Amino acid sequence: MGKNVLCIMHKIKAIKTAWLAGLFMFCFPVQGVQSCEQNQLDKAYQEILYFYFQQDFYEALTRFEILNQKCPSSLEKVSNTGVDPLLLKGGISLAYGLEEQAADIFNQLLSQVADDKTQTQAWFLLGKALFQKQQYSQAQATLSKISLDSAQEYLSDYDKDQWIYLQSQLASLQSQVDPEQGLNTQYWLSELSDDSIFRQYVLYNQGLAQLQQGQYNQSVQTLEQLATQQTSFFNDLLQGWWSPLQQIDQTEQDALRDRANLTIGYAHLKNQQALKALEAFNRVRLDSLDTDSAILGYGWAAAQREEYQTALSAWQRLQKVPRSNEYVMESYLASAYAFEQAFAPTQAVDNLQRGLNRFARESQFLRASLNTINDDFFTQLAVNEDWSEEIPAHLSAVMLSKEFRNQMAWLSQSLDLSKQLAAWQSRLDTFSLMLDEREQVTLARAEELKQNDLLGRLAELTATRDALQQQLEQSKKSPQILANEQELEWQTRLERALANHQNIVTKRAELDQKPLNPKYQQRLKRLQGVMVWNAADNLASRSWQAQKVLNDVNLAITKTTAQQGILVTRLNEPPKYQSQRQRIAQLQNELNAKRDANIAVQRMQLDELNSLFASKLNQQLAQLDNYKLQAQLAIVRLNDKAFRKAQADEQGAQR
Amino acid sequence: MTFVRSFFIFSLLFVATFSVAQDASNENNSDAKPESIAKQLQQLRKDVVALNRDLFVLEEDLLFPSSTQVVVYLSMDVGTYFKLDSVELKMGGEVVTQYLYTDRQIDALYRGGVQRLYIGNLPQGDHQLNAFFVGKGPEDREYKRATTFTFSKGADAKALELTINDSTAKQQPEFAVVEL
Repeated sequence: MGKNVLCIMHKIKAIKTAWLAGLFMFCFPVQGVQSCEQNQLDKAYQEILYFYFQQDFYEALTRFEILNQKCPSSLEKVSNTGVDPLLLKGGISLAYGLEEQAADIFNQLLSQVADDKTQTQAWFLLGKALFQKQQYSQAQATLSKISLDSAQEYLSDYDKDQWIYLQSQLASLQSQVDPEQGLNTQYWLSELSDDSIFRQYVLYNQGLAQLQQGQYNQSVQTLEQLATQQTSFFNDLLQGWWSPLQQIDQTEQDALRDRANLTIGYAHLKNQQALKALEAFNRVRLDSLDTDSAILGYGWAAAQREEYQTALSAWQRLQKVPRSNEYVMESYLASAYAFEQAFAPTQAVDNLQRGLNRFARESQFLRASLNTINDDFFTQLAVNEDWSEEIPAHLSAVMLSKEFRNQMAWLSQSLDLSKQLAAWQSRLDTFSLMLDEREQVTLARAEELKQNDLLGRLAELTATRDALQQQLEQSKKSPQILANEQELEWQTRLERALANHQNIVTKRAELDQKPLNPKYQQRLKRLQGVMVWNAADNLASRSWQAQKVLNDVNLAITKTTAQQGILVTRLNEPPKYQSQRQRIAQLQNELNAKRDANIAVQRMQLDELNSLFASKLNQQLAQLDNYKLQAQLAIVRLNDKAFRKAQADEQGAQR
Repeated sequence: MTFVRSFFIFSLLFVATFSVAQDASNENNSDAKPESIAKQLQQLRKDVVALNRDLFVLEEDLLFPSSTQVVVYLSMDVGTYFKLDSVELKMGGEVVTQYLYTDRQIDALYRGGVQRLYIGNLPQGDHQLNAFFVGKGPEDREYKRATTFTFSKGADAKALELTINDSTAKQQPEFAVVEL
């Protein structure tokens, strides 16, 4: 019996463990605990840096928002940040194009007590944000709060140069509004780094301002500083082995140099300095954005020197260009002028006729585009990152304008948002399906659990426990109940011996033999007495141990009963995925709202694009009509001149 | 025809001088009308970032509940002795992720960024992680190293970090796993 007690106790323990484990497994997944331990905070911030350094500003901002939501007001606790995390967030917002948010962050930073470094950087970035928002007077007020010493100490070289450049730009704007305020560019130039790209922009703007003020010589002198710099040809020759990044700067420098040479060329042309103009135009590269304009100017400079063959050669080269822009169109009229000056009126008329054909062809293309280009054209174009390379040649002048490129950039951003929202829509659908599936699995498990005998076993075990408790009570009267295994074995052997003795006594009586010697029975009784004595002797400690185990079992059964109660309640309830479903539904609503807003913005953008496109095309058509009119007038005039000349010749011959 | 010539010169000069790459006065006029679209788009982009945050959090809560969540980060030292090409991660002998790095990602790691290499689910108990690093070692030689780590997953989310450090004493890179 004692053996049975121990075995049952082991079983109860095993069942209790399995039961509790089962309960835990059955529990619903708990939502993430919002803990903000230092290392987690640091890791989250370093993850932001990982995206920021890859210039993935969207991901970086999203991670910032997640960090803010999980650990509000804990950015200042991030360790080893280098720069103020809030400043970084502002900078990322600015880079991502959220100027308003960036400005708010910088204002917030500046309203707090910040160290000099943070303050300087915040002023700079805020000024930049305001400049990008075209709030120029505020930008000027903000940027002027930074002293030159602070800029040198706390801003990187590039940022410092940009700070100076922005201020020179703002001063330039101010001088346009109020010409009495002279533009002191020399100051800015003296503070800029020698190799800064911003130095070249400042120089260019200075040259331009001088030209606008009629300071021809000074302007040319200023622009020449840009125009005669080393070209990228030499850098290409050296294969840029010193720095791959320098090639990017070089492209910008080359473009600026071309623009400076073009400006110098036309300034010389205007001032009758044809030879100098030729030299300047000649310095513009043949694959530049300013090439067509330079070739046209080159022709005019040659014509000014009465080198009509050279002028014609330049303009005829321009006429072969497939692009459609004002320089190409005007080259037809200019060629006619050169032919006329070279006493070749017939060729002049022929050339004008070719021009008329080209104008008609271009007009036809443009009118066809007006009728055929629609929303799909723009949206398909905007999804392509290199859309400017995809546009038809006859639309290049219209579609490469700054306004148009801005609109296309916004459309492209809006299409990106559509793509992101569509991707999330699909994921939300998946989440809903996943919850459905989880719900079904939970129900199936609950059903399975109800059908197996696990729930009934607790009652069995409780009954067994009660029986054991009863036996324990009885052990006070019969201490052998708590005998150990050795004693149980002895007990068994003694019982077997008693049975054998009784059997022998009975058989001997049946056979009328002499009864057994009573000492056998006495020995057996003595052994029985010894065993009872031993059991009684060990009763106290055994009883205590058994009661202790039974108490543990009682406790386990009580806990398990409570857990079973919870489980049974849950089994009888439908699975609770309500909160998750609500979150999904809420996000679904937000997603729909954003999608609708995006569609509305996209519609406005497309309307703007269509309207801009139509307006630009109409302008170009009007310009083509103007060229056409000029060409027709020139033909009439040339024909008239030829007629009069023929008449004069005839009259002369008659005389 | 002379009127044509003078007209061209002046008009072209106007075009050449006023179409400056960074002339802000131009922007002021041309962007005045569509500013409302730009602002609306800006607000929308801001809202989408917030929405993206909520969706990410929801996704993490649904797919990787903290009771089973395991996250593995990767961080790098300056990389004097090792230039990382790829990492393979195994959990309990099964490949859970393989990652090939671009130069830009490597640069982000050098500069202090940390990559969340893996997020997944594991039951409570002991688990073994094996990470294999492939790249260029000292003297630009092919370099492949592995590291093993045994960890215990409890009821809370578990975060581990693979670190690649330069050992100046050994002139070798060192690969380690840290429990966060």
